Amino acid sequence: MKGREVSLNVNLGGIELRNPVTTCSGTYGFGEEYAPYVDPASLGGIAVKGLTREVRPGNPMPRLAETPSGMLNSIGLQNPGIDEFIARYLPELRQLDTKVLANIAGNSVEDYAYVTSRLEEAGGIAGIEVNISCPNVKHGGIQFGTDPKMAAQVTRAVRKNTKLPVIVKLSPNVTDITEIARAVVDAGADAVSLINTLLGMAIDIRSRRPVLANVLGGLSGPAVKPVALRMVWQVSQAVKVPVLGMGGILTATDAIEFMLAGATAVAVGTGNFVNPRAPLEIVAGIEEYCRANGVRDVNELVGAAWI
Amino acid sequence: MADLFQARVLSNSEVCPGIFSLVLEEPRLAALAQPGQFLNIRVNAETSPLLRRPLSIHWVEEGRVEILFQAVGKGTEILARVRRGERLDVQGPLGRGFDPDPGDRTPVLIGGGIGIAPLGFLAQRLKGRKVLALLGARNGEALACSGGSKLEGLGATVHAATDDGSLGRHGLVTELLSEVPADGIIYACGPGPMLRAVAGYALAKGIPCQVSLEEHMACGVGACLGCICKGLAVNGESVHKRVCSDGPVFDVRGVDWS
Ligand SMILES: Cc1cc2nc3c(=O)[nH]c(=O)nc-3n(C[C@H](O)[C@H](O)[C@H](O)COP(=O)(O)OP(=O)(O)OC[C@H]3O[C@@H](n4cnc5c(N)ncnc54)[C@H](O)[C@@H]3O)c2cc1C
Ligand SMILES: Cc1cc2nc3c(=O)[nH]c(=O)nc-3n(C[C@H](O)[C@H](O)[C@H](O)COP(=O)(O)O)c2cc1C
Ligand code: FES
Repeated sequence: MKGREVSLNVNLGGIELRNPVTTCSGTYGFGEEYAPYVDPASLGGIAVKGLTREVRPGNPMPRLAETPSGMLNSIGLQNPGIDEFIARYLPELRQLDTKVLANIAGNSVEDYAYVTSRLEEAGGIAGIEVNISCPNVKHGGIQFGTDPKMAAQVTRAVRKNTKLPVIVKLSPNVTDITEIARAVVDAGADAVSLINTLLGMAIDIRSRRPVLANVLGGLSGPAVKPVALRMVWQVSQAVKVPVLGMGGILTATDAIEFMLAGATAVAVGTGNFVNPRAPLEIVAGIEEYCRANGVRDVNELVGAAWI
Repeated sequence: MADLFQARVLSNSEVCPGIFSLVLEEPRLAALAQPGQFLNIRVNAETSPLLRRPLSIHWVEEGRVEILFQAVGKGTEILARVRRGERLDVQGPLGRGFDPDPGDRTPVLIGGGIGIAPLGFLAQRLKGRKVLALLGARNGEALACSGGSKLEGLGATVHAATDDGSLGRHGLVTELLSEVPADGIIYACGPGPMLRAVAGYALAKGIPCQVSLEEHMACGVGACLGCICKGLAVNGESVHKRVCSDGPVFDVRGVDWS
């Protein structure tokens, strides 16, 4: 199908993406693992594994369980810590011709603030994605992301320590995700991303024990897509900032559904494991869809399903 | 470098009860493959099962890549039904394989069960060397078709141990460890307890030893951190290593066996 050029550029809270397709934090390592399959220059951006102030060894094994059309993981934020990230991984990430989102996590508001200021200082990244699905150690381990006040506090702390665009990544494990979304936007988030994994578990009937050493894990993959789509639909209509949609995206059709539901851009996570070239195929598929439907600018799709 | 292939299935057959030989015609994959590496295979185009299945490369010949697998669950049972002429979505070759240069040492291949499979490809690369193979399986037939006969065909001296005593020693392959010569170098693949025993022996005797580990995997390329094993850094510090990309083959000195 030939036709006019389709404009694929989108603006995610101040980050100019050459197309709306990115990759999810924790599923794309530090960018080099998928180099044999995908040239990052053909993607809108990539998000790196969640970074914390200190080195995190992560949870005990087993950390994975396959479920119907999905998977559970309990990696436990294993990461080399912000110092090692900046020294060892950031120099190569800077060379990539794509937008790099640094995903950050912490045990306290101060941790988030610290990691943010280190990244601000180091330079070379396009934006900070704040994972608020982490227990607040100082407040009895309640997740930042399930309490609007704590979510806002973290957002403000990050906002104060950087000029970079701030994307707050929302947890789906809440009663009303729009409440949290409004709270973080009021606190200065330039965009929101959703969804993080849904809390779940698996049991082995032979051993009569949970499969994951950590007992609970995060569900991802096609199984969560309808939930993610619903949340993107709700959040994108509740707040004025752009939404980065994710959760079970495997194909261009999935990605287009998210955009029609209100996502300005999308991210592929578990889909990379299934098809390492999924992000590329999704970029091509979105372009193809636009051309076939007379859409000249991909932004026309954003929220087009709203009624 | 690894890649994705739509590999043509040349044959897929049950070589003995529950064990299948799948041969793929894929010259570029064959050229890239190294002993000890594995393929990550998508068994169908559905989302169930969702994840790819890691399977070792058993044999490489004339642009063909063979794997040997046991049908043990949903994924491998679907794979068992793949027919000649179909295309299979194959990612690979993945991981760090064996260092196939034994130097002046006598290569000793130790395999247990389907873990014998990857030793076939290694033995191909060791052709012309005097190779000793210590193999264990549930019975003589399983031992032969998991790669035992192919190792013999390449001229390796095979010493067997079987659970039912139908071939060689009645017992475990680890009971044959005293046959490893002092100037040997061990390459091992098999169940966890077997590898632990082999590693313990090699470390105690100061015999160089590489083992191929197994873990459940999601990405297979080092991106998800789901397949961690406890390793030791050069300075003796405990570190997490990714079985898929730092391994699956490790020097026993780089693994924390405690
Ligand atoms: C590097 C590597 C090389 C391997 N090489 C071979 C080989 O050459 N021949 C062979 O028969 N088997 C091999 N295995 C084991 C093989 O991957 C599993 O038997 C297979 O994934 C089982 O899938 P299933 O759907 O049939 O079983 P299910 O039990 O239904 O699988 C459920 C989940 O567990 C995973 N899983 C189950 N058993 C294992 C296992 N032992 N190791 C890792 N993941 C597992 C599956 O991938 C899947 O995600 C290898 C494993 C690894 C990690
Ligand atoms: C193995 C794995 C590790 C993850 N690690 C992180 C992480 O470090 N930080 C984070 O914000 N989200 C993490 N996630 C969540 C994903 O980024 C994504 O939000 C979620 O998996 C839903 O998308 P998907 O269904 O496309 O995978 C992880 C997901 C998986 C599967
Ligand atoms: S399977 Fe993902 S890191 Fe090994």
